Amino acid sequence: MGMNTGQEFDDFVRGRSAALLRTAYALTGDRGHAEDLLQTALLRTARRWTAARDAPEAYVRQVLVNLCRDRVRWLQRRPREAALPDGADPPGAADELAEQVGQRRSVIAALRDLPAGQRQVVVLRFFEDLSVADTAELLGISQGTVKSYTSRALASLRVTLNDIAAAGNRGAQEVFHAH
Amino acid sequence: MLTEDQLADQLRTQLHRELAAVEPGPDLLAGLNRRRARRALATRVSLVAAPVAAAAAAAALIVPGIGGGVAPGTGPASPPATGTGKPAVLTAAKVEQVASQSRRAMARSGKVTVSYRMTDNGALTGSGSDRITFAGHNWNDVITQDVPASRGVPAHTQTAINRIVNGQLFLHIAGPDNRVRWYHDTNPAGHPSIKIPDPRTLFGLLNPSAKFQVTGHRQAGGTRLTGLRATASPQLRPLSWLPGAEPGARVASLTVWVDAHHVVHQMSLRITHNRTVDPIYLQKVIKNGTESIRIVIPSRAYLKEARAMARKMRHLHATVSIDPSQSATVRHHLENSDVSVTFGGFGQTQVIPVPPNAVPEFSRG
Repeated sequence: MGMNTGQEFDDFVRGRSAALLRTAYALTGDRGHAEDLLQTALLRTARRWTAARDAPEAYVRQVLVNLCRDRVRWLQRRPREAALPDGADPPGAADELAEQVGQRRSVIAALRDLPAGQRQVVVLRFFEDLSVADTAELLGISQGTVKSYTSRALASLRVTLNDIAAAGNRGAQEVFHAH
Repeated sequence: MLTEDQLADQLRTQLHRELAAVEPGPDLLAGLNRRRARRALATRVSLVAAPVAAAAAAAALIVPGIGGGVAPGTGPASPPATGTGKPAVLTAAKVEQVASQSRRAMARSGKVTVSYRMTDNGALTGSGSDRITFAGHNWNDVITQDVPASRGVPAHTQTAINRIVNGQLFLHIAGPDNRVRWYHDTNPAGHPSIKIPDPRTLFGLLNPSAKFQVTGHRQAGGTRLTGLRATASPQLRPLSWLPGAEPGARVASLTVWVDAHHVVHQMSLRITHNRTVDPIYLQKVIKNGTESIRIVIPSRAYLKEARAMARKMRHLHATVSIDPSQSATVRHHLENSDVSVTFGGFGQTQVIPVPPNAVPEFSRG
């Protein structure tokens, strides 16, 4: 990478790494794996910066999804790990939520229980706000599969979301600041 | 029962809310840089077969050593430069060496002065210093706070000493009779509200991701120091105990001055916080165990907007109240905290005695 492109890449990392880490975290449900995944994705993007520079975020997102799928395949071939409860939630957020919302269950935790395909569809559609068509293209599946995954995932998450809504109705919410 | 669309909306909101606090730590970017550097090095090694390319690669690997190249006592010197004329970024190994050598130099004891000056949109809001001495588990913190005049209260200076000796807390403060004396906190449950900051945690700011460059040299107390300036300081997070390190604050600048043994003697940093105060704000109210939201507005002019908000949040039992003391305009605050730290007493024994005649007091923590 030349000096200018190197600077471009550095600026991109500085500006977008937080958003991309959130996507990686939502995809994996594990902070440590999310950081590893993002580092690898950024490294691959850096090596292909000429191709990626026009739409680097989309490029990284695609690499993240691919890496995530590789990881899922790899995990299927090895004994299952039990995640430590304390390390599961993002630092800060966990404290705040625990403090303010009591023992409410988080959506991120519930996402971990979904099959990998459904989880990826949920993250891309509802966190990245991609359309059905874009999600299908990124994942290399049909639009019908995206819709059915979405529907099944929402059905699975219904209980958790209802719990959260109920907790919200009890008035336990984060500190607001109106804008 | 929620419809699928409502569930989707709620899922979207909840995902963004839960993930909002996820921020990449400095380790992530530092790790990325290390991996990129390793890869670049591997590429260079593969070029050795081609002599010209190998020579260029070797030149690119030269990173100036700290404090090298200029004889002591020759005064300020220009920073070492790369072939492009720009000062070189210190390698990760060099930055980590500075951090580890500094920790080692202060592993057992030391004397550190932390001075600060805080401003809000340029106006002084406070200044002061902590003179911290430590030896093993014993600590002494002489605290001085200069409070500027405000709302009829003249400017004044507050001083206190917090001391911990063999796990016992002693405070040198004014008592109920306004007489300053030593008190001994006899509460065996400890003293959770008193914390003496460990200045060695400042060495955690020496992170390669901040891309340190040599800025020059200067003399301090007969020691020649080399300045290292962070050129990517926003990568760093200010330590929570530093003045002005509120949530959302960032390190705007950082320079450390190190000796020939890579030990930090001085550090100066600026912590910046951009804050916006909205004329409408929400308060969480807990009354008789029931939580509700209060929408506070500065005048009736905001009533329509506030009522609309209350309707949206009716499930939170939102109410509207008018507080005329609040500003009716959005206010932007640029809060700066300039902190300078002097490290000393390297390798010297520090004596922190039990204060004589301390009055025993059982604190409530």
